[in-house]
Amino acid sequence: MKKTILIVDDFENTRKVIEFSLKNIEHQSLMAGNGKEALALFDGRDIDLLITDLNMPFMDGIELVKNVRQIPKYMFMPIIMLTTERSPEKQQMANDVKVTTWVQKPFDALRFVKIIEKCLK
Amino acid sequence: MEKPKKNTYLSFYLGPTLFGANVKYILEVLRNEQITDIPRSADFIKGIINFRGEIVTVVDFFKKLNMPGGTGKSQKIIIVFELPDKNKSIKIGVEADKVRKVFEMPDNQLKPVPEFGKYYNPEYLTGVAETSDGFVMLFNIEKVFSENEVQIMNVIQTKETKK
Amino acid sequence: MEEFRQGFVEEALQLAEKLETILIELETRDTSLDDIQDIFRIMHTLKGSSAMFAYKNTEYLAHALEDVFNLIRNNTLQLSPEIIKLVFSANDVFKDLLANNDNVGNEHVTNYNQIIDKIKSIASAVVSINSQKGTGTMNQAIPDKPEKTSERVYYILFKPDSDVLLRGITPISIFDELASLGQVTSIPCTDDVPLPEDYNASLFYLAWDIFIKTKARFDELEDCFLFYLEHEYKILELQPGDPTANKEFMASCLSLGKGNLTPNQLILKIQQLTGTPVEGTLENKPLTRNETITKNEERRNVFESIKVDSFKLDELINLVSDLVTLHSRLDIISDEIKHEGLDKSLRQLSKLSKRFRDNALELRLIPVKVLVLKMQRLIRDLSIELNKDVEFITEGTNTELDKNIISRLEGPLLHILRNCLDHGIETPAERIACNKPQKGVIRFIAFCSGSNVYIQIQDDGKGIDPEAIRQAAIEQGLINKNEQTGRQETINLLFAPGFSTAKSITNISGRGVGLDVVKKEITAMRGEIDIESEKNLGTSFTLKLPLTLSIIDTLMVLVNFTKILIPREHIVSTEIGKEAELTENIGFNGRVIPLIKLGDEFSEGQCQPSGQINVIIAQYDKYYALKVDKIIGEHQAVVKPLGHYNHNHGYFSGASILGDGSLAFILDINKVISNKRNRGNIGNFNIK
Repeated sequence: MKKTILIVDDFENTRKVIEFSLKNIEHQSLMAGNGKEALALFDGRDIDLLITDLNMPFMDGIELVKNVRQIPKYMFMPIIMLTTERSPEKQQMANDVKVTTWVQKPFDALRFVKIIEKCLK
Repeated sequence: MEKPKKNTYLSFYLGPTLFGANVKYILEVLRNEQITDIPRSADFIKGIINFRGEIVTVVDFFKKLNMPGGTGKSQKIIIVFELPDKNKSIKIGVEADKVRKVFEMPDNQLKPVPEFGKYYNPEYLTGVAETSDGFVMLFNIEKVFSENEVQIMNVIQTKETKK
Repeated sequence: MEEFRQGFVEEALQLAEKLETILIELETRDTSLDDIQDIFRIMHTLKGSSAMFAYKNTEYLAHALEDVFNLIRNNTLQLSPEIIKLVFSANDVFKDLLANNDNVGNEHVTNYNQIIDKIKSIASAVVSINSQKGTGTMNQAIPDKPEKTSERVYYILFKPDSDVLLRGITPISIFDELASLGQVTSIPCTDDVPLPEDYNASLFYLAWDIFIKTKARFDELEDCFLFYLEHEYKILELQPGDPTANKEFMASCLSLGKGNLTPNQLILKIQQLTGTPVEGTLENKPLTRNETITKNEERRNVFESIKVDSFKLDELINLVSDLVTLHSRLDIISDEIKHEGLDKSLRQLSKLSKRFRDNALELRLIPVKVLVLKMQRLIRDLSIELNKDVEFITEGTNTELDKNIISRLEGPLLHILRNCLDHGIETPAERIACNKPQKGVIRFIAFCSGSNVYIQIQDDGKGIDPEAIRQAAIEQGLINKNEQTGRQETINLLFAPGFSTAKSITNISGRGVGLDVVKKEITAMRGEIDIESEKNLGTSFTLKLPLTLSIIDTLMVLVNFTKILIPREHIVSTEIGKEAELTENIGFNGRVIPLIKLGDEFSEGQCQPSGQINVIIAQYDKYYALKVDKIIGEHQAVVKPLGHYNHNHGYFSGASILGDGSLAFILDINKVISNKRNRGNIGNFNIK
């Protein structure tokens, strides 16, 4: 079955790069430019994986994950935080809101695909 | 029809003659500025000034451009020009007598430079603008500040190798 | 995409730099497993990220090298100096590719292809040898096929946090993954499972002791635990033998601690898994994730410091000096107004702005360490090219210098090193013949003294033969045949413009650029350079450099009503001179030294001499007296360029803005002396 992946990043280019790296995975992707937009997309859909940036305007990645995890349906959904942020404090924050894994930008494409495959398994 | 290109100029007096320069090169006009003389420098250099914490050379246009005469005795002004260069801009000050005004002039209304002139050197001019004040000789600023520079550098270098 | 691509190129270049550092280290010490792992990882990352940005050539090269290092990692291939050399050249190609959008320049095409071919041939040679040999004849330590190491047994402690499900992870799936890698035995631990009334279905309470017999590498196992936090799992490689002797294993193993199994039962389980009876003692070689991580962190710290655009730093310094200037102006005004509150605030502002300035200036200081990598590389390449055996030793590389000086220092330093290698260090055969150790030594020493930094480059080579210099100088018409020159004076001829001793122009230090250029560059930074040399013992170059170029301690004097700043570091003393000296020389400390009348110099003798004060200065151990009109006082000058058209001024190196907004000129001692030496004649064209 085709998986639905939601990609959230405030830069269109980054979203495209991520989408591009998913080219070998059978999926359908949704895009959002910030947490607020992303949150709206969860309604009435079945999303299998969320890939989100951390620092974004209006609603950042942490806040987004926190909100998503409160939706019972997405309590156990895999979430990848993809960010240039390196600070341990932020990583701790991400862990606290329960992201599945943390990927550093710029990312190793092969590894990234592997991570996604693993999440979708 | 396409509108003819317009440029804005500042007109100023050097001695009795009215000259002009494109305002895009002009950074500021300074009054009552203390010029510090530099011992043993090229003769067209009036000295240096402290311009916003940067040291800017002030040149004497009459000597620099081989024009006869000189600025008057009365209180003078310094026009600070800024020119683009390879890495960063160059700032150069020019001593003048008085600023006249700022005016616009479409390119197609500029008149060619007369071949001879008593108070100017035609090769440094781009054109002549006819205004209500009369004719204004427009400087080709980039040329004015580029050419002699090379010469001066060469002179200094040959002097050094001669040693 | 572009923003991303730039990030990739930057990151990749950092990897290339890191690789180079490792390679250089490898040439001086034994290889450790970590180094190989590091190189492998670099290639792996490079391969992945270049693939992503369609850097095909980069990817291909990285892939080829990754394969080679995988073989080395598995002990299938020995890391040889040839391979290191190959990686060095490959690394150059990487840098080139990264700088040119993955394009191989025409001149590099053959180079690139050659490198690829060599790498491929290394990798394929190993594979074919192994397949010829077949199994059984191989040494035990060497596994029979690349990629497939021999089977090992790992112990894995797997204890996910209770919120693991809420993180979107299904812990049970780890068993499918592990099973795909090898044979798995697991012992669940249910100690944390609560009573039914406390049970929360969204939390996770289980943990496992897992044993796996697999051909997979450590990092492949680790990959299975990608989503888990560091403390949630631990992988240990179990050596053959009694696992209970492995303390780390014993400490981790849940089943034992909780008494679920006796040690004997455990050993039995492991035996079943490995299929071999446990015997003998075992070697402890625990590899924990923690250790590898700290190792990487250390490396990273060396390479990642904050990068600030140097223009921004310059801008900051400019702003700070403006602040200092403005402050002195406020001081003058406040003196006139005489307001107590204002005075007090100004004193505080004064302290603050001074500290601010010092801090800002310090920002531009960077350790000379940054130059070391380039020097190491040069020495490495040249010693191979010249067939010389050289050890490069560095000392005091944490000594800091202004970044502007550091960047201008690179050329001169590399030039001196080229000289050391080309003319100084002998070939191994020559050295043995002179009873010297076969390996030559080049030492780079940096240290700070006062407001100067000294850098010495010493070699233990053949030293400089003054007679050879003299002959060469006569041949090149630099000195007259009959001219007598002292020993040091002769050696200093090396700095004469155009001087070269190389019989034929070699690629190394010939090229018509001599030490004169080095000296010129050092002098331009207000520095000095000296050579000391003893025949057969070696040569030592000493560079004396100011800490920073942007600030300088001076003595302010008045000459013809112009304020002149004389750098403090040159000043020996000041004295009252005679009213109007006509002589060109004065006596000082029992010697006769030249008297330079600055007033005359600046006005070509047209000015009435009013000078009263002689400032005695020293340059390269020689003394000169400068005649000035008046001493105003000490002044810490923020150096500013003299402005357009004045860059090559005959006497001044810059100017400084004083507290009252007026300007003072910074005297360039070197220029003054060389002008005087040339009869004070700087030409008669266009000069006032």
